[in-house]
Amino acid sequence: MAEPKHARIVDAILARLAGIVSDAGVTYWYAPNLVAAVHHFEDSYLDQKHDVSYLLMDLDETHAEEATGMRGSAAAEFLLLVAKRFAPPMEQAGGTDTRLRMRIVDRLVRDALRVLLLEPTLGGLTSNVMTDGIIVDRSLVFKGWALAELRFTVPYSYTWTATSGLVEP
Amino acid sequence: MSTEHGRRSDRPGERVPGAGAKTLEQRVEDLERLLALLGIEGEVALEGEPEEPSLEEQSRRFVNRIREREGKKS
Repeated sequence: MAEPKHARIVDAILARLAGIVSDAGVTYWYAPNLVAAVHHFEDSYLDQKHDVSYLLMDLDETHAEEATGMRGSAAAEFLLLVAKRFAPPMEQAGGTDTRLRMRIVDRLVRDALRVLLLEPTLGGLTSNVMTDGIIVDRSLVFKGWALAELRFTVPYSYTWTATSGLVEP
Repeated sequence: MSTEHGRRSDRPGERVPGAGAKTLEQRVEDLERLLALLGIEGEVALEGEPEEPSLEEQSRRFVNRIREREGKKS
């Protein structure tokens, strides 16, 4: 029996992130050393063992019946933390290190957006990961790291019948 | 120890129960006013850097901002 659709969506996102290969920015800037699904963003997940990390966290999921009946629409909301170690000896506000930190964050965000939008249906599991837009938070602060969060929602559908109950294609 | 402002807290910034309880920031303002009355110019500075919020807390704030924005849209 196939895994639940939500689980397959998580697997598909993680597989795409893990497949990022750096070519110095021609396509992608940073290949991740750690790609993982997490329950929440624990500080200790960012450690010196991994230079670039992608952490995926579940948020809310909504379900509703479509007007046609016997067909459900769901929307799974995710937070993606993208992080790269960055620890200049002395970072001064407004200095070149700060500009570099912002540049690294921009690269991380673009890498994540690019890989998500390369195949926005995630192999047919969803109509489009961009349906509800993607919101980026670049204001995160964590000593020794350049990082950002992306929030996006993945819509998916299923059907049900009186005899077999829920059916996920 | 009790005052007309309510019970005091030993911890900086902590608001304690009681009518008129004050935060650390309000006490700093009181102190600055007192210094001004005494004819002493200057600002009262708090030592130490503010503690960096955890990733979990920062994520929670981000999600709250999104929820607020979505609430305004609908």
